[in-house]
Amino acid sequence: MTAGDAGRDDVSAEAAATRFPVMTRVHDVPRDNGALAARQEPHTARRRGNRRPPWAECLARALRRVLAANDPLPPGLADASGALIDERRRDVLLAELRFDSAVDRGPVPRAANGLGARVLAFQVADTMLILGLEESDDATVLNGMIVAPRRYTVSLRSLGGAPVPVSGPSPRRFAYRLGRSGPVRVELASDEGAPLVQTDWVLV
Amino acid sequence: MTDASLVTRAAGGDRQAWRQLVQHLSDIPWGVARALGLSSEDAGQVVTVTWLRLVDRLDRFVAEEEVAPFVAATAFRETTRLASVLRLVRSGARHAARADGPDAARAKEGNGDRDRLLYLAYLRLPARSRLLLRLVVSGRLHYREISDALAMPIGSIGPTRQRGFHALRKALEGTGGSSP
Repeated sequence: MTAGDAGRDDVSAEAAATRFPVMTRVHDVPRDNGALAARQEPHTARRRGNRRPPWAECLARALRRVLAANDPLPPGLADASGALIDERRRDVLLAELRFDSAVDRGPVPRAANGLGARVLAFQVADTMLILGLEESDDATVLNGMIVAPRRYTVSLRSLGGAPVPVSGPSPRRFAYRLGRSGPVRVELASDEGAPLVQTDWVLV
Repeated sequence: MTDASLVTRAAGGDRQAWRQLVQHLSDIPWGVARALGLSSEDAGQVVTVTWLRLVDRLDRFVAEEEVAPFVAATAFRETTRLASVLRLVRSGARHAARADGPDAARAKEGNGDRDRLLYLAYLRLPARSRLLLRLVVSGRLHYREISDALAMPIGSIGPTRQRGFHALRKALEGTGGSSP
């Protein structure tokens, strides 16, 4: 649900505009330091001498202030973000997200790939992982396929949690029913001495 | 201000440096997600996964200025992806509902009438205009970096920004203000 969906009837823009008419001139908007704005807006047009008109500069400063006041980052989210550095590991290989059927156009047709409605592909070196995601009732079903010259033991890791072993119908395929949403990543551990492979985090 | 040591210290596991880096740049992923119409909860998910992607790549950056474009691009991609999955927004679509929703209702009483109207006018803009204005006024990114992050032709950034500012100005003037 979006913010727009929740409480859509709370107040209309038109009603608010009627209740709170403009009382001052547009060019009175700036209240902060113009030098700060100039330092914070290093766009190329400025360097070419193509400055915004003064009223646009005023609006830019006012908009920055208004957005900060009305739509700030939630404090709890800022605190949680600060703790994410604990997820950092330097002894692993990162399998980067190369393809996501939700945003990329590619050769994997939906519903015809046998993996799920949404298909992700991760790769590092000679290892590729293809992950299909299918919404099912109150869960997300993950179907994975590994393309690599070695065998891996597969685990699924949620944010802040321990890795959960997953298995499937064959050594190179796995399936898992995920009952919660949030960031997850797949880990591939080899018993042949190869480094641990971690995929990019993805939201499911 | 360039602070190479902040990124490199964070890459070395310095929690305080990481917190400072996040604090400096959090307005980018949050702004991208919110500008494109995601709820606070969904925007929070985008912010989290953006930072997680950065955590895994900290070794690739030296200066904070190098991190900002990556953060913007990742947040834009994740927002687009999440919006696509949720089937709630489409690129370039208008989101008039937001101007009628709790975002508008929460416009701070103490900010003054003009600020309230400016915020409401911003909410009425097309999603792409909101996104561009939010990144432009954040002052963190050059046009080239915005172009790369949003997969948007650099030549269209100036006109889109200009149309957005004109729309805001017109909205303010149309409700009783006068042009400068």
